[in-house]
This record gives sequence, C-alpha cells and structure tokens, in this order.
Amino acid sequence: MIAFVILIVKVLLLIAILMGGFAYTMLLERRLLGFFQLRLGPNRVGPGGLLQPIADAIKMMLKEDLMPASADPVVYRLAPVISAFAALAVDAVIPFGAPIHVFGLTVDLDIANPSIGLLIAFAFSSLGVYGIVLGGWASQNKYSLLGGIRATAQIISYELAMGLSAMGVLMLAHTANLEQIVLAQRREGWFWLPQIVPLLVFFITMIAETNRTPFDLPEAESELVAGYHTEYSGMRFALYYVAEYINLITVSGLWVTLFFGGWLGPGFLPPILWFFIKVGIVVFLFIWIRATLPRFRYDKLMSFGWKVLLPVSFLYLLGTAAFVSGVL
Amino acid sequence: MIGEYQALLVYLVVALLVALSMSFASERLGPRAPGGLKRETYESGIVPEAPVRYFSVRFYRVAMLFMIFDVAVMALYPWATSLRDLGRSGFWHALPFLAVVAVTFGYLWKRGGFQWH
Repeated sequence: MIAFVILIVKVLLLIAILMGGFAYTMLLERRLLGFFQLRLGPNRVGPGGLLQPIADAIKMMLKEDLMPASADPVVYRLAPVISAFAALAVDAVIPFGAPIHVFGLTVDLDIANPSIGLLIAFAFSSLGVYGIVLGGWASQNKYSLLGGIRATAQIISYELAMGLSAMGVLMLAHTANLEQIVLAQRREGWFWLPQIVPLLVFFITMIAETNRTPFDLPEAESELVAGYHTEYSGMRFALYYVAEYINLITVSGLWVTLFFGGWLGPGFLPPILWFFIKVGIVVFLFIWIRATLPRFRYDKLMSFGWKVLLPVSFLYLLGTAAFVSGVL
Repeated sequence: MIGEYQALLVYLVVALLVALSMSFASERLGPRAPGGLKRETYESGIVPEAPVRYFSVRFYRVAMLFMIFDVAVMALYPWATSLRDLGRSGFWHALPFLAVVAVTFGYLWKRGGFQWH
C-alpha cells in the first residue's frame, strides 16, 4: 500500500516537473534567443517575464480549436496526443538521483528501473514520430504532409546512428539498465573520455531527433509554413511544443546519463541537483546552437546522417568491441 | 512490492490521461464561431486545389534502408551487453555478422542508395 502511494506521488511529481520544465525551458529559450539577437525577449508578464508560460497556457486553452474540413477527424485529434505521450513516457526510466531515504523508506528516484531501460527509452522516443507524421497526413495540407514525411525520414535516419553510438556504453557498462550504467561510471570513471566520438555523434542525433535547428527541416518556416503543425491551433498546437521541449529535456538527460555520469558528482550538492545542473547545461547548449547555426539543406542532412554519422559510429563501435572483449 | 513494469504501466496510463485531457481542453474551453474560410487548409493564401495524396518515392527508400539496418542494430544490443562475458570468442563470432552488414552498407553506398538526387 505504502509502495503504491509512493509510486503515485512519484508519477505525479515527475509529470509536474516535466510540464514545469517544458514551460520554463521554453521561456528560457525565448529570453536567451532574445539576448543572443540583441533584444529583450518576453519580459512583460510577471517579474522578468516569469509568468509568461502561464499566460501562454491560458491563452492556448481559450483559443478556438480549428480543424480543416478535409482532415481526418480521429487521426487529427489523436496525433498530438501520441507525440506528447511518447515524450512523457521516455522519462519513466531515467534515474534522476541516487535513492533517497525518508522516514525509514528507501525511494528510488525513477519510476521504473527495468533491466532493458535504455531500449525502453529508445522505443518510446521513436514512437513520437507517429504523432508527427500522422498529424501531417491528417491535416490534408501539402506543407503539413511534406513536413511530416521529412520528419519521419530524418528521425529514422538519425535513429540508427543514435542506437549505434549508445552501444559502446552498453559494452563498457555491461548492462542496459540506466541505473547500473550510472553506477558503472562511479566505478570506472565517466564514459565521456573513452566514448568521445559516440558522444559527439549522439549529441548531433539528439538535435536531429528533436527537430531543432540546424536540423529543423520538418518545420522550416521559409519552405513549409510551419511544417506538420501548420493546421493545428489551441491546445493541440501547444501539445506539439510540449512534446518538443520535453523531448529536449529527455534526450539531454539520456546523454548525461550515458556519458557524463548521470547524477554523480562531488558530495557537496545532492545527486538530484547534479543531474539537473548537467541537464541545464546541455539545454543551454541546445539553445546556443539554435541561435548560432543556420539550417541544413535537405540532401546534405540525409547524406550527413547516412554517410558520415553511421560509418563513424559503426567503426568506433567495432574498436570498442575489440577493446572490451580483449582482442586488442 | 510493485514490479518495475507495473510501475511503468501506471506512469504510462497517467501520462496518456494528461496528454488526452490537454488535447481536448481547447475543444471544450475555447469559443466556437464557425463560418468563413476557417476550415480551409492554409497554403500561403493560395486556394488548395486537390487533396494531397502523393509524395516523393525517395522517402520510401529511406524507410526501407532504415528497416534493413535497424534490425541489424537491434540484434546487436544483447551482444553488446554481454560482450565482456563472451570475451574474445564473442568478438570473433560476431565479426561475420558485422561484415555482412558492412558489405551491405558499402554496396548500397556504391549503388547510390544514399544519394538524395
């Protein structure tokens, strides 16, 4: 019974943290982009613009919900839900901190800790593409369809490199359980140095998987209006943003867990704080890249994924395998 | 005691409910003022002529290439996890499989499978 109560509290807390994280990552991005572009960004609602996300949420909820007459009503309604659900689902397996002890109980700071944690994370993160492609198709708009199809091709192409680059960590850590991967890094040192090439490949694929600049071809506004969510309005439009920003936080958490020791860190701060500091730095890096780099051309994007990232991560994997198995 | 997958299931159900309720929020709460051209699709102000059904066949090719290699990658996960136990023989036994994948990859590259044009 007590275990069930703890689980419910953890579930609600995680969802609240992710939703709050989404709202304030978005605000952070808008303010930082403002500073990068020598303007102020949103600063009118509340002190320093701190209440802006809440104002946005109320506005989105009270907007008229429009659906094109030619759209497929069921799929149109379902698609943003799939995206947001998949984004939320991945976080269930990411360990946010060391187990804590309160009132004589030991509480793990993750929802579930299955032995195939990393595979579950990849499985749910690849479900998100259904939301995008179905939303693009169901709108029956040329630009939406193109955006959805582009997103699919891009995400599945980069997913291969992502899977390959994470595999070296599995070899070193000897497990696919994310908690155990963190503990292995406490024993053997963080994996960023032995896995320096996969780390970079993983980071690039992270940007591509979340459809962010310079890989934001699915919503390239100069070519496709707004891509797959052109026809969406109100809260359904916001759900795509929920998915995008939660995905951003999630992949940052995954990257930190795989290569930078997760919640490990010097003892003067609690582990959970270390985790959030590291994720915060990665999120800042994402925003910095968005403010700095121009968009890729589509054919370059595809050939970069298949001809550079895939062979590089494959060869590095082969080297890691030879090293771990003792052949070298 | 609650198992890992039961906990995961509880979380997934809650996440789905949150996403669903957010999705239907504006349908319930928002104003409804039908009329005008609101239900036309937006194509930069040009009147849409026909429903969209077709797109470039190159995207199908990408999907098929993905299928080929993703299955190979998936098959490697258990091997990668237990490679330290398998030792040298584990590496040598996997090498023919990796070679087949690599040859396939090289062949597709040479035949222009990864060319976008």
